Amino acid sequence: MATESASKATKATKGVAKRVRRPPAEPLPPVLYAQASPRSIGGVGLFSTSRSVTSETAASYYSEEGMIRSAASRLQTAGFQVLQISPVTINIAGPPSLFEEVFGTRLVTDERAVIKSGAVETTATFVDSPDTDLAGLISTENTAFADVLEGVAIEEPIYFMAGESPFAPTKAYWHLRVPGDISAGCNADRAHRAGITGKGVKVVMVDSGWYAHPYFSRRGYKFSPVVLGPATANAGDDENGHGTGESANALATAPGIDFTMVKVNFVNSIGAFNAAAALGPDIISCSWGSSKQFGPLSAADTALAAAIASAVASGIIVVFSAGNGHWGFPGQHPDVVSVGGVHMKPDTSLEASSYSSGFASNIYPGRNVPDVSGLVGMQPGASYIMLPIQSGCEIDVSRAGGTWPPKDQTTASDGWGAFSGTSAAAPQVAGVCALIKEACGKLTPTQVRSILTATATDVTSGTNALGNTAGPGFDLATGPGLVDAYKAVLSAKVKCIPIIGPPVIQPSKLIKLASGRRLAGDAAEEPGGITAEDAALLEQAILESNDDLGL
Amino acid sequence: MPDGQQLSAEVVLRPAEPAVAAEPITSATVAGHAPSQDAAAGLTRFFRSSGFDVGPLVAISFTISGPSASFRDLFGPELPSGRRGSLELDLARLPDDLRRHVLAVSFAAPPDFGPGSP
Repeated sequence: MATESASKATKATKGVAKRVRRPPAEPLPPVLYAQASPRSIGGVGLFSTSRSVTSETAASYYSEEGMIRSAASRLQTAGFQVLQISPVTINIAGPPSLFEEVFGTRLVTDERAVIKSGAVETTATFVDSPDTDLAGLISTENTAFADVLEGVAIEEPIYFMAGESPFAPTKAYWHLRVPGDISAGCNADRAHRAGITGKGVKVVMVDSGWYAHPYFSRRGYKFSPVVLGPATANAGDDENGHGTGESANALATAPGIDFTMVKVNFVNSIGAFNAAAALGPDIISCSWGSSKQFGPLSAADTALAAAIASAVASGIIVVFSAGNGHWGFPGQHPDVVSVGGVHMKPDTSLEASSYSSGFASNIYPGRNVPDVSGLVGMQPGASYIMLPIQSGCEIDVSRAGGTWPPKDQTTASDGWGAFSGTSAAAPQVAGVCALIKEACGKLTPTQVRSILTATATDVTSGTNALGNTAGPGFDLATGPGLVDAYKAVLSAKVKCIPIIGPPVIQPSKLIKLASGRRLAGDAAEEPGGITAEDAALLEQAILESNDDLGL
Repeated sequence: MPDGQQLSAEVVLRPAEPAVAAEPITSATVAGHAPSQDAAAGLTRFFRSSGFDVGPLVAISFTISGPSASFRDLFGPELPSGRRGSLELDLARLPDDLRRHVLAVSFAAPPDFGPGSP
């Protein structure tokens, strides 16, 4: 058995900056992440060596496979979540109280000076065990783990781990990348090339927050400062990662939008939603909800329904996820654009996502959802879209390593994670709504939803998470199918043709631009303009013509 | 929960016209569900005087925010710590003339999908 452990007596700071202990300024986090080091085969512990750990010396800190397995198993039995296992360390997570109980220590917080991205000098909260001299080290000496672990290193604040790449890591499994694959999959590229990018359209997302990942700055997206919802803090951080990742979906389909995040703590999602509405956006995108199969609604849900209804009544398009195997509320509210999921295979064929919801509402009779679908992965885990997130955030850690699916085989601090669900589909569709609004700003939320439904690509195979099977036409698996941004924009443009009285239009120009084919019969020949009925015929003819041309 | 921790809850008001309470609230009907403006103003004053930050009335509700100690003082000890469902607070300490206008003071339930479960 190895002879050295991270003992209280033998610690030295070994180049670690001297710490200045002060009274705790922050409470301990609810979950603590750490690296447990199984005893090294070289006999000298990873945390007690005086040598630098380099590629040349790393092998001596490897551990025997049996030792690693035993340590991981016992850590799990003790209650820790084992997130990732490497030859050197085991990545674990658990509440601080569990660390204290298992390793016989007490944990404290320590505010230390740090420099964040952009050379911003500030402080960050570190968690530490006062029993050791090495910063962030928990001793395993005289614990039940002394025979298999030489110490446990507490993860440090993510601020130090700056340097996320603006480019997604490459992985061998089938997945989509932002922005290109999402844009192409939703047929938004053609709208972008036609000059429709969502420019001038204000989209607000209500989610876990937004982090200024280099992915966004490299692409020059337009962001307004994060707005803090009720009882939230840290506007510069997205501790969960969900909001940051989902924002990339909206920007993939509508790169020209003016984007704002309202950070929510989900103890008052209504207040956060109302904060979003108060910003006066064109579109609110929400990738969350609860499962409500039957009524009556609670008081909180009633208030949320009223907030949504009020926003829509004022002209705001409200987009919600339909759910991931849930009877999603507010995704079933009659006023929202409810978004389901379609899975695109490598050969671009489409099927209903087995991860997504679609259903006939029991709460609102006659309400069938979704209204349209976006791109979503399959069970298990829907690890399908590689999205930028704050390095070391909850999603970064929880999805890291392991086997795909549901793990994404990225590292726990690289600032990228593969996930989707209708959480991803909703902002994709919100982006398409922005394209529609740019193409025809006068459209009402109901009209925009009708366009999305009328122009979607029908999906005829697959079964969704609630057991509804896709078939020709509208169904409860995908609604009308996958959103088609380009067709939706074309349809919106036609809606903006003035039809109030003759003469207002020369349809022949439109016809020539679209296909050169004669359209809409006699209506196109009349010199006095077109009627509303003729406009509808014309719109349908343009879409059919473009289909003929493969547009 | 530390007394200084900031919390936020939603005050949900009853409609001024009780007959509409049973119908679903949509963009077409939401105006009919509006609460009494006088009641909303009275409740706003009351919560401000009780130490809360009070948001604007939106549709049928408004937000109150403040330290957990303020919530405990007015609503009792049960606050949303580690719960799964929504939590409606005890209204017994609200003045009678205002309480009858309040459907609930509620902490919303954490979502079943979204952050934490994408």
